[in-house]
Amino acid sequence: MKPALKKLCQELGCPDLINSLKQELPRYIRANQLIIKPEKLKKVLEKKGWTLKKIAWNDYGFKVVKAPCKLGNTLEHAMGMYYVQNASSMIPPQVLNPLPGERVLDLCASPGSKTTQISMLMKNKGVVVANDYLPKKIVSLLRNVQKCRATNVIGNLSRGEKTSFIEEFDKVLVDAPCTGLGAVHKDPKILKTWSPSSIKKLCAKQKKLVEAGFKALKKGGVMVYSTCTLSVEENEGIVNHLIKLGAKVESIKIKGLKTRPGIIRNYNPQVKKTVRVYPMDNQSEAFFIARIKK
Amino acid sequence: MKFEYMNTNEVKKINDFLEQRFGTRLEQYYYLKQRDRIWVFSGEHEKLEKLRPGFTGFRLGIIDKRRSFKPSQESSTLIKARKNVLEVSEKEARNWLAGKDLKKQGVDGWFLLRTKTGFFGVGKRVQGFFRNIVPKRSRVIGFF
Ligand SMILES: C[S@@+](CC[C@H](N)C(=O)[O-])C[C@H]1O[C@@H](n2cnc3c(N)ncnc32)[C@H](O)[C@@H]1O
Repeated sequence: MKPALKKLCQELGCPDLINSLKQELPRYIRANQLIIKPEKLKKVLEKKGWTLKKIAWNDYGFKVVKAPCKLGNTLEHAMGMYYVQNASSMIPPQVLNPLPGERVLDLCASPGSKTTQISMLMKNKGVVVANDYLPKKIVSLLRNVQKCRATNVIGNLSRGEKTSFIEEFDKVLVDAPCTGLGAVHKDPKILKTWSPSSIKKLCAKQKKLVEAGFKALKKGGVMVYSTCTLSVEENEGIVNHLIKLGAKVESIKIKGLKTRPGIIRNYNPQVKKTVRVYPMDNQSEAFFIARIKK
Repeated sequence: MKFEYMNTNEVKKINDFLEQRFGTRLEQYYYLKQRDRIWVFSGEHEKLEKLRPGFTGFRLGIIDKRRSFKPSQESSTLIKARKNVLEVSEKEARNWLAGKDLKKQGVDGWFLLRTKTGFFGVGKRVQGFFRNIVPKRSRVIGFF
């Protein structure tokens, strides 16, 4: 194991975390309430040989205990009735809590798991500006938005850090590009590319992205910063940067979800209110989530 | 890629088609066009000058070369049709989404296609035959 990785695991108080990251995780789907009620979806799929178990911390996610086919190869999927999405990836939109009628910015949106969830939570009312920086990313975003029958999303092509929105949004999600340790169970190569220098590079970008996101947020608005990685610099470090810009960190409590507090290091102690989600705690991907108030 | 709000006349034309064919109007949306594509947007009236939009809402369909409106496959869920809905078997639905034509006798014209569970597409019947119009990129291969 890379020494830096070993050191990180020690700092996090979980020497065995890397092994947990490598372990296979259950698959999850999210019922698309724009089209179907979760209980109805469960019935429809279970008639076809699936076994689904509701996840503890929201009303629309299911663990796939058994499926007779690839999760994306069904008629119901083509009809947009569900979206294949890891249970942890459902948390940031939940924490953001977008309401019907609000204006929401999703700064790093593609392929749109969270965008379509946000649109669902808003019942297609209000506006979601879903941004990403490459045309092909906008194409995959559109594909999912269209499949989910989301009608309140505008796909915007721009480098997040170059956007110039000023206090226009009630809610902002920055689901940042990161070193992705949470995805090691799908792609073990991530462990090889993970390094202090890759962290440094991404941190510089993450800082610029949250600055733009925070600027776009109305006073009194809520921003969620999330990553699917574990490095403290990419997580609490970025939140600490936001605190210096005037952000307040709010506590996150989700019934049924086991979380661990943020790592303080030499940062502002508010970062302790951020949460870390570890695979061995909830059988779901590693994630980091911070709820910020302006 | 220029997106523009459509004028009332253009929107009326589409809604007249929806009403005549499916017995319903979709008037709760903003309508935008971008080349031949028609988008519906359920949000607020957005000033697009400040954005670099790649899409604006949901793709309702296109205006084809003969200047008539052709609904997208996914629009079948949005249009709350009161008539001209055709229910087919799941096997037929899978075949359609995989890119195959659909044979079903009946009168000609546009139909929303559904199974007993939900809507999956839109097709135009000509002499008992729906020629497949599912775009290649959205076809599903390896269906269960
Ligand atoms: C973690 S992924 C987002 C996943 C997405 N939120 C979802 O739930 O489906 C990070 C995204 O950030 C995008 N990205 C990378 N650099 C960016 C930039 N400078 N501005 C905006 N988006 C960027 C990537 O293209 C990628 O799609």
